[in-house]
Order: sequence, then structure tokens, then C-alpha cells
Amino acid sequence: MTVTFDSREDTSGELIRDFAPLLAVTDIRIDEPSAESIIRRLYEGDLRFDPTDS
Amino acid sequence: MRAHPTATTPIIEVRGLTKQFRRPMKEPGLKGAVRHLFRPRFADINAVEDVNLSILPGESVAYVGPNGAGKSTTVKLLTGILAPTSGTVTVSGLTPFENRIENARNIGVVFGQRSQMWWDIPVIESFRLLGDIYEITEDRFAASFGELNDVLELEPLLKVPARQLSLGQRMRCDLAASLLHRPPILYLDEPTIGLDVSVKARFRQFIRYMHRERGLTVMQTSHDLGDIEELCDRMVMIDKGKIVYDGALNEVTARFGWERALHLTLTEPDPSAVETASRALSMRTGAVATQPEPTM
Repeated sequence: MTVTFDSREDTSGELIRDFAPLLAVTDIRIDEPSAESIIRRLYEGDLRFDPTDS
Repeated sequence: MRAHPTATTPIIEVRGLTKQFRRPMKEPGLKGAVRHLFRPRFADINAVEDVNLSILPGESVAYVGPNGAGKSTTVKLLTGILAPTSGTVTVSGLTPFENRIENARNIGVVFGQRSQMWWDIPVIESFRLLGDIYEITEDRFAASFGELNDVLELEPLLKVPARQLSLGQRMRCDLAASLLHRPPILYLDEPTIGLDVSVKARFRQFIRYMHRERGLTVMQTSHDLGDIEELCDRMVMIDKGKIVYDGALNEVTARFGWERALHLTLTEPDPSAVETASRALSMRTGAVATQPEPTM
């Protein structure tokens, strides 16, 4: 299972605390977006250099 | 990463640069061709629009953007191959399209998909011809070629005609050819396109050496983020002819790298895990639990 989240709003620790008591989790891996995926999304217009992005 | 530029006067200065191309608008078929002959219609396309850019001596700058964004057009404007529709370009104090010969003495250019080597003659002869074109004295040629020969290990290639070189070997020779006259500026347009990982690594090592040890100012277009991460600490992004970002690559990743993914392995498969997690995360608006599709 994968949980995606906005690190500006939540931390991974908060999320883990929320669901860990309810699920039998044996391992956790955290992925950050690669520079390549960010640049790709900028090219595709999915992300923009607007003042609201910062 | 860069040879920390100390000069404050830009070696490349671009102000309000615009390049417009006129594209014929033909309708399909014979009827369209005849109509275009008598009543031609054109559309003006801004390949580069109001670009402002200053590069200091000793900087290494990546110029990136999607295909058709205007990268190569900018390089052609900087090299003097194209004249701008409006705006100014100054490279080492010269206007490139008005002073093409003088400007050529100050720049080296490598286009990843083209070669400046003569196809049918041994590589060494191409170097000698370039030495004559740039009016390099025997002493300077010997010193410059000697260094490039050592660093790029060209010796085994010198008697081979360019057409018989592999892409990686040709790139090494093109790099040497572009720097034979010791220009202070090197433009690289998609230099690592088609190169394998080991040749790319060698290419980057060489550019790093020339940048750090020789203070070479480098401007390169590339779709390879490895080139940018390893060689440039400044990235200029162009999109639809306009500059949309000018800063460090890591600032972009810091600015947009807020999305995280937590991958969870459960003790045993649980068909209701996503539902359970979604309930637990219901108060957190940005968090979404999903079950990834199994991969083959």
C-alpha cells in the first residue's frame, strides 16, 4: 500500500501514528520526488513557477 | 562545483532578446498549394521572446526546456548563426551576428547531433585545418592540442577518418576541435545525446576539468539531468520562448519536492488496508492511500 501526502501539511511521523495502530506494518519506505520527475512535471505543465508554488 | 566566478562583468549579456520566425500556413493538397502560391498566408512564431540573461566568466549554466522551447535558437543567436528580431546579444563585448569571425575566436560550440570534423580525412588533419582557420601559431597549436590530446586520450584516433569513429570517439574529437583555439566560452547543445553511460561520465569529467582548471565558461542545453546536476550549479529554464526560471537546480527540487510517498509492507495481504488507512487519514486533506497495481 502507498500513502502519498503533502509534506508542507503533514509529516510522515504524524501519518504513521494515525494508521500504524490499525494495520500490521512490517516495513516502511519513504520516497521523495526525483529532480527528473519534478522537471518532467514542469515541462508537462503539471507544476508551474507561480508565486503560489513557493 | 564551478570555478567560482570573481568577475562581475558578464561575459554573455542578453537583453530583451526576441527571435521571430515566419511560418507558411499552407492548406493540404494541390488546391492549398495553388492558393498559397497566389495568396500566401504566414504566421509569426516567437521562438525566443524577451529573454534576459547574464552569465559571468567562469559560470557553468544549464539551459533547459522541453523540445521546441527555444534552447537551440538561443544558442544560435549567441553564436551569431542567427540574427535577433529585436533585443541585444553581447558576447565578450561583441555582437555575435555582426562580428561572426571575431566572435568565433571567443567561443567553442559542440552540437551533439552534428560534427565539425571533416568526414573523410584523418582526425589529425581536421585539427590542423581548424588550426589554420583559427590562425593558431605552431607553438600555440602544439600546446593546446597536446593538452587536449592528453586529457581526451585522442592518440589512437588521430589517423582514423571521422566517419569511422564511434559516437563517443567523435564526441571526444569534437570537444577537442571546439577548444583547440582556447576560447573562454563553450556552448554545448545536447552534447551527451546518444552517448553510453561511461562515455557520458568521461565527457562530464572533461568539462569539469576545463571549467575548474581553465575557468571555461560553459553554457549547455541538455535533457540529461545528470549533466546538469554534475556540471552546472545554475539552471535557466525556458518554455515557449520565455525564461520561466533562473536559479539553482536544488532550489527547484526544494520548491516542488513537497510530495512524499510512504510505501508500506503489511505482515499479510489485507484487502481492506486502503479503506482502513483512508479512514485513519480522513482528517488529513493532502494524504491519499492507494494500492499500487502489481508490476509484471
